[in-house]
Amino acid sequence: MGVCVMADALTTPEVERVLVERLRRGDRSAFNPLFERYRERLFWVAFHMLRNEQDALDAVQEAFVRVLRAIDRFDTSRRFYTWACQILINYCVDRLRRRSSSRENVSLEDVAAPDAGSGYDPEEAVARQEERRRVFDVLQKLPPPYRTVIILRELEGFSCKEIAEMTGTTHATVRWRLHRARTMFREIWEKEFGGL
Amino acid sequence: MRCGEVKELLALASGGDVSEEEWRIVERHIAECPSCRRLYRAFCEDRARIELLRGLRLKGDLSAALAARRRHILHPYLGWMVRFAVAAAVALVVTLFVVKLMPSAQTQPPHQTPSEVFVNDTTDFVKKVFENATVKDMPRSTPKYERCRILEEADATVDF
Repeated sequence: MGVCVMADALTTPEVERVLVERLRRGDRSAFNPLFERYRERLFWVAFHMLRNEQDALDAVQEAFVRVLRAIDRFDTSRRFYTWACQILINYCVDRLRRRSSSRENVSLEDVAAPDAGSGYDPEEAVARQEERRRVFDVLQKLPPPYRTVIILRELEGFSCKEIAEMTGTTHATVRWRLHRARTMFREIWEKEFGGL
Repeated sequence: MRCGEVKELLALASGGDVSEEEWRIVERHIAECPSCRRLYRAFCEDRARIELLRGLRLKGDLSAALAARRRHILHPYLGWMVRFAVAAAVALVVTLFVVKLMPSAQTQPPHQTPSEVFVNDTTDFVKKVFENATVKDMPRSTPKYERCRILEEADATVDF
């Protein structure tokens, strides 16, 4: 399995480059593998940002439409997902700024499938579910710029340098926001659930 | 280094977002300071908590809804085209229905000048007066004043 993961990690950028080249030549069938691969990851980023599943679906759709429109300008030295995620984040930030949605916030349980599979202790699963809900609620209390940095760093695993590129800010700004975001998360958590 | 200065690095250090030099400063300080050590551990626990949100799976119906968006992505104007076609069809049906309800609009006679109207109406009147008359009923020589009366009556019915 480890070999498979390694092989996948090695070939993915190459495969993506080929798919992007095909898309540039007008071969729309090359879009399907990219969409299949990244749609759910992008959905979760959008959902954590917008906190509404319909808004998140719209955001993913719009991000992919913009990706297709700007595919000729894509720098193939970058990862496709980084670029797509940058487009999605810009869309979400813009949407939050305009507050154009009248849809209500939904909870994590409305959207996420429960943990399944053998070997799961039901009590542990419930406890995990509850902990997730708490984390999700605390994250939603962070202002959008701090929430964005936390989502990109902790959930998507981007480096501070990559986040700076994606959000059009400097490395120092991202570090400062990350520090503030983690501190704010800690303060809210402590206030609501205790700790330390 | 004082706690206040190190605290600014603790949150970043918990996620490995500090340089090697900064990490050495933090490491040295938390080894000596129990309060900062506790705070550092709390930041690490927070990160572990947030990671619980990694790898979430979508509910079945939402997953299907997301997959269905591919059609809209590849054909972003399809929805608008369908809406436009439906609106055009409805407008056509309404127009046909209105035209059918107004038959007078279809049987409107062509525009006539007043003199044409006079001639036509007079002709119609004369035809109406004499249509049921037989040769026997009709006098061989109609008096001149009678013809004038008929024409005068015809003139009175003409509506200018």
